[in-house]
Amino acid sequence: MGAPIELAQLTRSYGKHRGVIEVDLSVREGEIFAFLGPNGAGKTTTIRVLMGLLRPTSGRAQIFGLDCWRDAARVKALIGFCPGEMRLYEGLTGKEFLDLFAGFRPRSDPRRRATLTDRLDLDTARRIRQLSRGNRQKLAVVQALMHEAPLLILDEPSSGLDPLKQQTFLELLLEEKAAGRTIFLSSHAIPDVERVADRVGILREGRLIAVEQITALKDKRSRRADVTFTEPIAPERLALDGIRVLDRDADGRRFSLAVSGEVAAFLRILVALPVDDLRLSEADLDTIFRQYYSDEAVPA
Amino acid sequence: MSAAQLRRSLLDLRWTVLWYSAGVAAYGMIIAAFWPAMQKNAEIFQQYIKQFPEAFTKAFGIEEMMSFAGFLGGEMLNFMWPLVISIFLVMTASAAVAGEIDRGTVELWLSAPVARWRLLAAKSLALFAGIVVIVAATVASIALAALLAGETLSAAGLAWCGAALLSFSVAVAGYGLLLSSMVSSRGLAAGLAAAVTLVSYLAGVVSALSADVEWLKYVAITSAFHPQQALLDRAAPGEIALLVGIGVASTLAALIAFERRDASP
Repeated sequence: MGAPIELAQLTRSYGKHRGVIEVDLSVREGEIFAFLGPNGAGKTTTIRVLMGLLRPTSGRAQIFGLDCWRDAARVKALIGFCPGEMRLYEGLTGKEFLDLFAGFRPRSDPRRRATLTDRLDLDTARRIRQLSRGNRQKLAVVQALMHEAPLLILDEPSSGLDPLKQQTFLELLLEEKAAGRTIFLSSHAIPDVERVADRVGILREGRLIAVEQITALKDKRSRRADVTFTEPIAPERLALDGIRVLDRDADGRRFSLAVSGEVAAFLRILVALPVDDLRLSEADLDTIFRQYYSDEAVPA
Repeated sequence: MSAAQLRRSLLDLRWTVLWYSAGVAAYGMIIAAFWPAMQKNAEIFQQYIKQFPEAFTKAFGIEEMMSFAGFLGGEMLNFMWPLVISIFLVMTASAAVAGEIDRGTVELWLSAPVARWRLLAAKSLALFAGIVVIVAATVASIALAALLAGETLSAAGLAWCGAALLSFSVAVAGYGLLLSSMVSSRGLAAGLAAAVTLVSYLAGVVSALSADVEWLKYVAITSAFHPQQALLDRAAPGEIALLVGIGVASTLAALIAFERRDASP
């Protein structure tokens, strides 16, 4: 049996529009792999190729050694899937919805489903059209997890969940991982990713620009600095190796910076500038992530 | 084929099929209630009909109103029934694939570990089962109406009439499913299927107007649809087989098209 997910030079384009370009990726058994990127970066396109909805333009996409297009039915028997666009069958009750998807699998354990609905506090008696966004999300999550599939592909699974249920959901993910399952997660919720993921892949404009261990990313120790000056400052005055401008306002008074390396050198630069306010935050994945999307380094 | 999908599709269609069945059966009974009055004035009415252009009487299937079968044909089977059933079939068949894409449920639907063609085959079978129920309700209402009116219709005639209605429905459902499996908008699929039905119908009408355009009858499925003749034991099994063939071939083409296409919202 091959790797849970193996992409080799995967390209999928939509006519003149970019989808994903020459993506190489191998997801290891038993890991939680998070796929990060802004809207339009190619996350959902990749997931749709994996789910056999889209045929690759070129390259290869395999799940456990099976081709995602040619062997789509066998591939999907190995996947629990939560779609990104939360469109469900409005006329069904939650129970009917779960019954339908359980019916597609030869073995489905009702106790597992009951456990999941209890933990996520989900009422399956109501029609889906009457459910809030959060409850629809819970239903989709239960549907994905109830099959006990060896691979979970979850597209924005925690969006819409309240904080308590997000916590429960993250616990469920860690339990799935402990049970030996592999999880491929696309998410904008970077704090969640930071808590559960082993590795992240960062997509930018259809290309996979980095695959890193979460721990390695954190070791880069980029801190986020939000600085307000009493007067406009030219970015050149912040020139230092390891400083990247993540964001700045139009009048040049407020800067969001990623600061890696020694903080003392950064502070020495600030001492010579008219600083009005400074907030220095812990290294977090959000800052690191934004560095990959910021083209603007402070000019030397 | 997927049993889970078939079960779900049958449940989804049950009320629609029930109401259409009740509707066409009630319509048949109401129309038949006018037969005694019509029968008394049949000759006058027939002379009246002859004043209309031939194309008009052919268009609405009211060429022969002297018999109970002719009356039912003119008032129900030749025009109104195919119109009503086409609306049901176009709307239902167009939803099979394009509807899933249109409303954004296709990702979830196709996450089922079942080959696409099996999922669509199950939906198609549920639709064909719905057709059988509606046709059965229609034929039963005709038989009951004949009984109440004291008219005699042979069992064979009723059975052939049912076969003719069934064959027309299977053909419309077939190309409706094919169009649904080829496009991504339910509205477009329904519009195209309705256009095919309308153009085909008009081609059949126009083909009767002049020998120069007689060839148009070969593109009209209504050229092979004669439920009134079937009711009078004058069925053409070849025509019925042709329409069933169109429906089955279109459905098979739909399964193949759906297997090969991208399916993304």
